[in-house]
Amino acid sequence: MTSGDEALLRDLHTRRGEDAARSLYRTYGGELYGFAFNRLGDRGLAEEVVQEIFTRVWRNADGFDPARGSVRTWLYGIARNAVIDVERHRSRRPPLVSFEPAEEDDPVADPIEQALLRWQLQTAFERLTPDHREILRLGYFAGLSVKEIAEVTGLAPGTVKSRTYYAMQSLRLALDEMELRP
Amino acid sequence: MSSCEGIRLALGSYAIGGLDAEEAAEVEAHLRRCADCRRAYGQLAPLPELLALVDPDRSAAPAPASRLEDAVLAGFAAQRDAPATTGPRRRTPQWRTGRWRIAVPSAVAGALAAVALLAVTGGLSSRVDEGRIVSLAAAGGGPGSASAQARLAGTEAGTEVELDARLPPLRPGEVYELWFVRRDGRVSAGTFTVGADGRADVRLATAARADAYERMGITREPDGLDPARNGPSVAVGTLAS
Repeated sequence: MTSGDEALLRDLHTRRGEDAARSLYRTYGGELYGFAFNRLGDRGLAEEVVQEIFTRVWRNADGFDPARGSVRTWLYGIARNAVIDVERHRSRRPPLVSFEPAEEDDPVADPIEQALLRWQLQTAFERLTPDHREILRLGYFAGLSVKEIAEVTGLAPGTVKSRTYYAMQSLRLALDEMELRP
Repeated sequence: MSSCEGIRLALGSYAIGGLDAEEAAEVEAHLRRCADCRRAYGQLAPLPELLALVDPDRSAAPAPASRLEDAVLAGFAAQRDAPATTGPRRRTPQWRTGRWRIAVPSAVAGALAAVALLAVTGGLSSRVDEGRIVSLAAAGGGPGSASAQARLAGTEAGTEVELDARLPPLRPGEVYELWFVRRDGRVSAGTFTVGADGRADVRLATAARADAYERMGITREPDGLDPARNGPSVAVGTLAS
């Protein structure tokens, strides 16, 4: 997948450029939009950030160096800078755009590196199957023991354990794929 | 469950503290003896700390509107074509140089803007709401010096905007475009240019009704003849009353 993304970046300058651009947008556009929206709390600003990210991608595709990390890592670096630019402008002036208050925790208080990590972890978690998410919801987030989960769900304790194991394996794989190496 | 396979399958539950004391002790005894299972556990051990950053109940992230893909790809096309346009620049069309400037029909607004065009060229659309002023200031990512004041007048045909803007000078071929924006879309209120001093004092018109929108924004469009929104936002202001 990673080397496929690199090929897409190279293709931007060829006759297949438009297809390559579309593939890159479809692979990462939604995820980056989600990050920007989550961070900025405003759809309009999030759209502007995503446009800005891809403008920088089109302009700087030549500068991508696979030795320094994957396309995904590079894109998130660009996203980080684009979001910081927006936040800087916002902090200098009173907010001029309709701003939805964030849920419980104030995203602006969250350092951007932490926010990037949090977002990518969230994305990895949401890529798990519903069964895997559910078993972690019960076993980790609700803090139930194997026996308690077995009682709640009617699953055999052995199934609870193996499902938990495979859920964590999947999460680990998703993080590896995203180059988040815990 | 002292076999490697039995232990392996229990490692996830062990890592998140789901085993009872007896089973946990059994896993720990095995891990002390078995390097392979220790390695397998090492893969999972960092995960609980990371899971703490996840919100398991968060509803899926909002999907971007499909127009975002169009805008991103239009940006790609503009960037790709930019180096090729070394020939003579297009002349600024005559209608853009006058003091009265009329909305360029945008692809988004198509028919609506055409209605506004008729109303404005008719010249006598009656005003139903006079003189609301909206201030626009530099947008995120835009230059800090951008600002504008828009006086909105509601008419039966839509909204007339008297815009007094101070914006960075444009390159040949570029125009500024004024938009009414809301969550599910945007409508153009027309394009304009600024003088060498960055000033624009123009009147624009659109069929949009200001009270149906949340924000106003000015974008810098690389190609004044392309009706889509391609350029960066330079100034925004809120319409919330």
